[in-house]
Amino acid sequence: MKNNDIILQAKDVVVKFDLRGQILTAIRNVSLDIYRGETIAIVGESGSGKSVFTKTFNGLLDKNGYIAQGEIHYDNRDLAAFKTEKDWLQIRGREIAMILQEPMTSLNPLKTIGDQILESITTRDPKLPKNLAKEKALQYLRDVGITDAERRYKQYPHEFSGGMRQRVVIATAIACKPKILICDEPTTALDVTIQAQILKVIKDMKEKYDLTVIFITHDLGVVANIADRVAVMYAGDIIEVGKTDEIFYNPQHPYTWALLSSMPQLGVKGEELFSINGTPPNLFNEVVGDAFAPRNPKALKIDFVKRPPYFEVSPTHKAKTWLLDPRSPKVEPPEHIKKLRDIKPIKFNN
Amino acid sequence: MEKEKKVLLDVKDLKVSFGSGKKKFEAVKGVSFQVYEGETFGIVGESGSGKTTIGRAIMRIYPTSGGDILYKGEKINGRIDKALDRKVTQEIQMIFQDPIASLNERAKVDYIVSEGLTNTTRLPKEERMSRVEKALREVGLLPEFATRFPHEFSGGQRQRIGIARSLIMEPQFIIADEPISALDVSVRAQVLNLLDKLQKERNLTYLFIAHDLSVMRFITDRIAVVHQGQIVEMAETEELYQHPLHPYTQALLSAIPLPNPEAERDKELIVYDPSMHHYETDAPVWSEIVPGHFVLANQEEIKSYKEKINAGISK
Repeated sequence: MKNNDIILQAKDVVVKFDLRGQILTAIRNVSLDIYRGETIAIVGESGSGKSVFTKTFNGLLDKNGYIAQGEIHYDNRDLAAFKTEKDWLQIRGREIAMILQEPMTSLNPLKTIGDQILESITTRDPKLPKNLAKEKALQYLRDVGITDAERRYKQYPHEFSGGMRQRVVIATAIACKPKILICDEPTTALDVTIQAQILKVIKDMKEKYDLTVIFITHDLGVVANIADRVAVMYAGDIIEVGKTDEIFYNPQHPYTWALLSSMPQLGVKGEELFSINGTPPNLFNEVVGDAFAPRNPKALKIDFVKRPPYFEVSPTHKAKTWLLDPRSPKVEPPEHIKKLRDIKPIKFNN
Repeated sequence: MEKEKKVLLDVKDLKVSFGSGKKKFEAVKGVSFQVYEGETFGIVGESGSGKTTIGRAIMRIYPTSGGDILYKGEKINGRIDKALDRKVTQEIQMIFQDPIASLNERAKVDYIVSEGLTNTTRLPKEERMSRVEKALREVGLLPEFATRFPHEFSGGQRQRIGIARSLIMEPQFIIADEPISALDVSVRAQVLNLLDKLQKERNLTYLFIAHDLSVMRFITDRIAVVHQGQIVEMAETEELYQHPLHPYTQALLSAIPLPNPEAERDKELIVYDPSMHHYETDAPVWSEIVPGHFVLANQEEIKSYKEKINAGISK
């Protein structure tokens, strides 16, 4: 982090969905500060609410979802109070842009990719002469690593491979000159080698265009690569947040322990892999206490009764677990997650 | 390995192509490997490498255009007689990647799980139901689930239903095509442990197709790396991770994200460029560098690989 000014602040946000009369609470009182210029990763299983939470930042919640409570401060405005699409058009894309998981569905198959980037540029800057706009579009394509941009400019999405499409999507997002770039599992559908390239493109673009990146993923390996800070989500709540090193080398919440433990790299051949028993709680019902308690064999009694508040571990690291209360018994994190430090890249003696 | 290895599946110079004439595309270009009884054999490659096509050709979903597939010494590709067809249908089963798409959403679990039985045997209903119940229990589901529909289950549970469906046939050989890539990290471990348990209990042989090398290290005994329809390297799993020789294998290994921020910061990425080989004058051949470790390489490369491995071992 270069400096500590907050670019976006979510305060006590509650998001609910109305599903045929049944109310599902997807986000349960989440607060998060996002600092200018950082890359923050939001990690969690599917259904933990990581996508829903970030969708509240640019008004992309499904029709039956609504922010029931809380504030989202961005640039002296409260995004949670936005009502109309017109309000959102001021923010979406031009201030806060989003890259989605499946690059095929986020591009229009009937338009050339050049036109799609032009669309971004001209919405942002309608008075720009056409030739200059095209020049810019080509520049963005080169930025994201598309070779032979002149020829590629005239092609349609189906002529691109998955990795190349994701590069184009990044280019269209950046062409709007956003301040914040939300990447919602942008590499999940891609091969590992391509994934590494796309992560590099996102990092390069962040540097070049001074972006703040919110990176949603379930892959802790990707987190280790890209993030400055990590927020761990479980059952609609951020249960632990801290600098990347703090989360990996000094995790506090039992769920973070479990998540790190289930990394296949920690497995020993012939022995059982660590797995988390049970399933996440049903969010149609009210969650009492620590949401992870039913799956945590070492849960304390209070975990089933009272929801833990944040306890501060360091000025940059806090976790919602009663284990950090001075009155609770000392529970050591599992021994094997200390082995994370020993995972070394494979050496090639070429 | 301690005891005599028995070959269960022998694939010889397998070719699979799609289309014909000018549009002909050869997805698998002459692949040979053997799978031993009781082992887990992994096939790794990127999307489009032909790894799934190999699996499907063995399942006889795709017709082969060349080569032989021998199962227990008998040829199973092309035209085969009815008795063998039956035997193969029962003994070789598949587990699919997407647990949502691979289950019939309009059918109840008991139908999905017992469909194979209904198609191949004439069992009385009670017998069939009791087998469904047994299969469900074995994969860690409750027998009550038999009357429910697939949408009522989570991803991990659905994948268990998919496993129960193949188990009920009492197979000996299971082809698992990316069975865990659509699942969450915490559920992945559950499914992998289940597959491992079943292998030990029933002496199953697995052909595991995946793109995720981090998981493969944990579950496979041997791995073949596929690139554009050809196996470029094949070795025992630890050997492959310790001494990856082919530049494509190295590229795949170097790209694995590591859950360790320190290691991730000073990791070097290797990018594979097929034009780095000089195959115009010196064509590559399939050769054994050290016992059990095969690479597709030309004479010059073989020499350097041998030197490299010897240097690595003496260190």
